[in-house]
Amino acid sequence: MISTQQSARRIRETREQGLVQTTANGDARLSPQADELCNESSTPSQTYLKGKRLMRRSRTQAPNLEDDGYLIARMRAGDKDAMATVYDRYRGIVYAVALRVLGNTTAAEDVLQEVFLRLWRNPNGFDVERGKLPAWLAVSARNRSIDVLRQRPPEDHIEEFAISSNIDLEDGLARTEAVEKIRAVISQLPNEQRKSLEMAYFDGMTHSEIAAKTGEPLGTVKTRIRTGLLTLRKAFQ
Amino acid sequence: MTDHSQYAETLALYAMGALDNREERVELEAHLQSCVECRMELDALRGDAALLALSTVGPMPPQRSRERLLGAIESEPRKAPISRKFVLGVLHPRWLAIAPVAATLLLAIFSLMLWREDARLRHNLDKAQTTLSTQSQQLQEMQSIRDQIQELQLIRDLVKARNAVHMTLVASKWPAQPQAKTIYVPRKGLLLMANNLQPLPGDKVYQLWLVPADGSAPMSFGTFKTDPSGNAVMHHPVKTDKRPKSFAITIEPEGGSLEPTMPVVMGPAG
Repeated sequence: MISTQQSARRIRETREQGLVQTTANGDARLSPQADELCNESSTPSQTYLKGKRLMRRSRTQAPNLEDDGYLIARMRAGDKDAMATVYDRYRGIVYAVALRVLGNTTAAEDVLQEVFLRLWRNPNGFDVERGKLPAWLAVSARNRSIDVLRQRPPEDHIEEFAISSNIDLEDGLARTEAVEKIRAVISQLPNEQRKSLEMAYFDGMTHSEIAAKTGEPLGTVKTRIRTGLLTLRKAFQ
Repeated sequence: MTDHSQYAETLALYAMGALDNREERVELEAHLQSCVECRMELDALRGDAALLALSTVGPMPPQRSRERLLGAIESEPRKAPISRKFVLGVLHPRWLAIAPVAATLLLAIFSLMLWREDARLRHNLDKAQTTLSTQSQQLQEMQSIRDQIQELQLIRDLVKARNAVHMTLVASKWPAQPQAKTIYVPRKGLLLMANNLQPLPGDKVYQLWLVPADGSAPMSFGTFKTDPSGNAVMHHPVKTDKRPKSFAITIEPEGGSLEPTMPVVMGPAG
């Protein structure tokens, strides 16, 4: 059950997906699909759900020129507008990761710059068929931030990884919901387990360093990290 | 044999970049070189770890970051943009999303074709093995027959050899008695060896008869003449499988008779 306020926000997002049209004299009006949507829906929840269906239908019927894969293809062709669109879409997640690791806005801005510049210089480094762009950018930001933290030279590539296909990161609204769910799962992890994961991932600490800091045996740290990762995986299966 | 579970925890640390034990890392990397299952698990663990990165939220970067990036891009040497028309040719990601399904479907069809081909080949192999077994059995039978024929030829050659010394030993008080021995195998052949038979005039021959056990009429098994000493060897091919009650020898005109002419000059002993 979603609240009226949430519904209003989602309807607004629905409009932004193209259900509002502009007439010849510059007035805005609803598209026939949106008109149908508003006439037939009696509650905000129904309106929202129907809007999502319409958006999905429109995506399957015609190519979406704003899809990540299409933007990457344009970047490969040297299209700077596509780069700007990708930056505007994912600057928040990249900056947040860098800031979380480095705790310093200047250093985080540098990492932000490096991550997007690297994508611009080598768009082929991201494989559209194998990965999801926001995840690739977030991991790239994390790894580069750890390199900065450890004063290591940047790596040329990031390792391959596989994210559950149940996580939709391309759709703006779905991505927000996915991030909320990830955060909820992490917050429900046992405290020590979560801390071990965060120390390893965001502080770049090795398991020996974590064991030394927490006073826990090495085996315990190992187990906590693996169990934590598997709990995250299970939540999206 | 390597147990994957022994690497489970170090694999998780490795995925996080948190494995600092050099020996464990070297061993794990060596294992990963040869273990597809563990490499896939490593990708999955890195994907799990990526969720941690995605969980971060915070303030948006300042506007100057955007300007700085776009400024840097402007000064980056890149190849000239190609026409939009060409770019439109790129597959839409929604279609790309179908690619794994299509690939899986193709793989399933290919697997089914392979399975059917495998079944067909197995069937052919079974048939070939059956044929080979039958032919092998026939070959053994032919080999056996050839061995027997060779043996018979050896016996015949021995008996018919011009320089053969034929000597029949009998009780010292008795004159040499005519005698004949037959060796008969149904559907294969008959060998007759006779000694001390009385030489016949030119228009007469000895004729051998098989007297069937079922009481039917005697069957001719060929005619023969003796040498001046009264010895003879005859080989006669046999197509019948009649069981003999006995064999008998009669004296017939040259060319033989259809029925035996009495009397029987030689019959079974006793």
